[in-house]
Amino acid sequence: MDKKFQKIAAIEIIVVMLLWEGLAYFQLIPTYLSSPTIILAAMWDLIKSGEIISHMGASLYRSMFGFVVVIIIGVGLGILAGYYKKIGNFFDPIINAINPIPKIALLPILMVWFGMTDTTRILIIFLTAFFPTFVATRDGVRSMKQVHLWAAENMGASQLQLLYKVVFPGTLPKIFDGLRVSLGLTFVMMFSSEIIGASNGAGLGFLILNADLVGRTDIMFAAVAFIAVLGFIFDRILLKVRSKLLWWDLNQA
Amino acid sequence: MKNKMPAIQIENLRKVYSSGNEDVLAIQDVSLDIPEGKFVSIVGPSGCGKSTFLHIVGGFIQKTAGTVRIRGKEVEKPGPDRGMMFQESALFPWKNVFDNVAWGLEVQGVPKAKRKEIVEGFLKLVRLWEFRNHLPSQLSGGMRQRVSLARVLAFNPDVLLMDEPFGALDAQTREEMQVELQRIWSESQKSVLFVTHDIEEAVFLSDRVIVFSGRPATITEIIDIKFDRPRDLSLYKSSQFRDYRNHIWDLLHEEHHKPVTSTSEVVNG
Amino acid sequence: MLKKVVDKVVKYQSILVFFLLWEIIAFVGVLPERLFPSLFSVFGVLLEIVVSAIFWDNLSITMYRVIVGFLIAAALGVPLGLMMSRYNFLNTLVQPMLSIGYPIPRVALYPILVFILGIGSGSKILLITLECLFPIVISTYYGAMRVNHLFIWASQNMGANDRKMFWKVLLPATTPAIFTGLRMAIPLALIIAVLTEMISSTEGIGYQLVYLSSSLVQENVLAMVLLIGIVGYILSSSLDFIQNKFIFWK
Repeated sequence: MDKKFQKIAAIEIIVVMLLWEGLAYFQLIPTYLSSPTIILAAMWDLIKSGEIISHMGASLYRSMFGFVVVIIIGVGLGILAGYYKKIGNFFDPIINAINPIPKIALLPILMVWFGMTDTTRILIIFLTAFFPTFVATRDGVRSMKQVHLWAAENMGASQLQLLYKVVFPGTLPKIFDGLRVSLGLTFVMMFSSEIIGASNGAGLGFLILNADLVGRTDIMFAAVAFIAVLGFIFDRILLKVRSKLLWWDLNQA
Repeated sequence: MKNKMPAIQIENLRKVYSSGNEDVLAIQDVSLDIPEGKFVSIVGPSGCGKSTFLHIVGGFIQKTAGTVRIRGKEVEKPGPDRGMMFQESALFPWKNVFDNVAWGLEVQGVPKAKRKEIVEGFLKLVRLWEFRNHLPSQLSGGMRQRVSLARVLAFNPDVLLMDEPFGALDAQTREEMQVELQRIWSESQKSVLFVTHDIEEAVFLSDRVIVFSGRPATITEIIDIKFDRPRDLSLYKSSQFRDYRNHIWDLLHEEHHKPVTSTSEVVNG
Repeated sequence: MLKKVVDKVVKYQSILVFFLLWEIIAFVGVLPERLFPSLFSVFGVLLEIVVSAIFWDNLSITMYRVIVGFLIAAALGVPLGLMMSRYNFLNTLVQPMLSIGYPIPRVALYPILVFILGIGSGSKILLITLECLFPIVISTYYGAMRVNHLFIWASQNMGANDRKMFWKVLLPATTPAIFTGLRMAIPLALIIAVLTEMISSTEGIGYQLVYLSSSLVQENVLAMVLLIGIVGYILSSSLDFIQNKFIFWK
């Protein structure tokens, strides 16, 4: 997103907020739709009391735990499945069979096994976010230029050197495409796993759930805003890391 | 020098592709020697299997039968004793020019100071030292292939294998590269096996040209090119050059040909 | 013949291995049968569910939400994407919203939508539409941008009017990209439908799944998950079928 876009985006957000505020002020919309100033006040209260720290901390712990495991296992397995035909052929059918299932449907299975615990939540986050990264990595390796691999072998690279010095950097652009989708899913599943199967504890999903029970839409909006900000910031961080690592990729978006 | 063993020795090389239930014979029992320090080219109609032949010598593709020896040592898989140059740039886009040339030395565990010395030497040889911090994507096609050549020379292989290295370049750049290659080759003293579909390129560069027939690949004729070195582009205009060229052209366009199978004819240097 | 069977077995060995491992664990009884049932009994339960009227009632409600939400997104998203490629002003307005909205977990809005629209289909359809809009608009826009210059050249060259060129050139040339967007949107529609039904609902297959899981009997849950997977598979395949009929030139 370039500077011009950022400016327009900022203006658009401000216009919508002003419109919303105006409608609320003149009571043209029902009070449960709240207003930006009330929501900002609710957000400030959550920050001031320190309550948001525990909710955000708990939510981020679950999502980032899942995401880090996705990076390790998704990328690792993806490279092996893409590079070694036998491993790829072994995994392909089972991946194809599980992929069309909406992964959220696996949550109850895990709930029966592990109860409504963080284990269940982290597992469902991992299971959902695993697929885009694995598939993108695997297909990225498969679409690598043959001459790069041959040139490396020609220069006497060992299998291990070939994987981490040629296959991995060569596939990195595709890996990041997958990771970006996975990161988005991480936050979706973080929220979903916290809000399904009501349970008490810390987390942004619980915050919404509890606010819902007492009809505090301002807190609900505030929590949604926090989730949106988290999703947005982490996406930006990923893009920053990407452009740092892929400085050589001159035609990147 | 004359009694030394050949740099590359190929005996009865055969390649059969099996697709489905059908077996296709791509290379039929080719025997060939590349003498030490000589520049040998293979020309042949496109799709005749000359690239496959080179890839087998490089160890990238499995052969069906026969043996390949580099300085007497039989080879089965790719290795740094053979420096391979490809038609398209095989430079790593995520490494700059310097790191690309240093790559082979790095994986072979050459110390850093020594690496720098070698890389500097070869980048200067191909006249691209000033571009050492550029990315491959920032270079022209001709410059990329010069870097590729430096990279291959840097790890000091026994022989060079070149698979139409100038095939993707425009005509003028290609001629410049031919002169460059000749200069660099004469300094490095390497044995070269060079594959091309360009007859003039083969005649200009080589001590010897091997003419391949169409599928299955067999050797049609072996021609020694007797020009003094160094050669320059004015050679293209000489009548002897045109005689070589026309003769090879006729061979490639003959409908029926008698393959040469006796190895004795091939070995004679 | 025998070779073909062996090839198939080799090809799908991972599913076979998975199946066998599962059965061994179930047979040995590492976990109680209630938690780790044999897949044979799961298939039995699956058949029971399929012949029950409740399943078909729930499925039709879910499908109604999926299809209506998806169709609204297509009806809005395709023209929007096409128009963005033609009118720079519109693109400048919408593009920033897309890039801000894309990384945000939009499902978090669902509890608020329920608060506003109630627990019925309205809130679910709205969220499905919102979620499906992104891939459809983005894919249509980029597809149209790629053919746009051809469109302009051709219309200048032949002197055809804009309307004619839109229907005769831009739209057909963009169709593959539009289908790419739709193909990405349809699984999303099902995911959001099941998800929202699991969060809060009184009907739909997502609701049925949560309902079955509350009994903590794993074979019921597994059977239902398999069924949802089959539904997802059929949904995607039918769009592929339509795509192959429409884009016969590809």
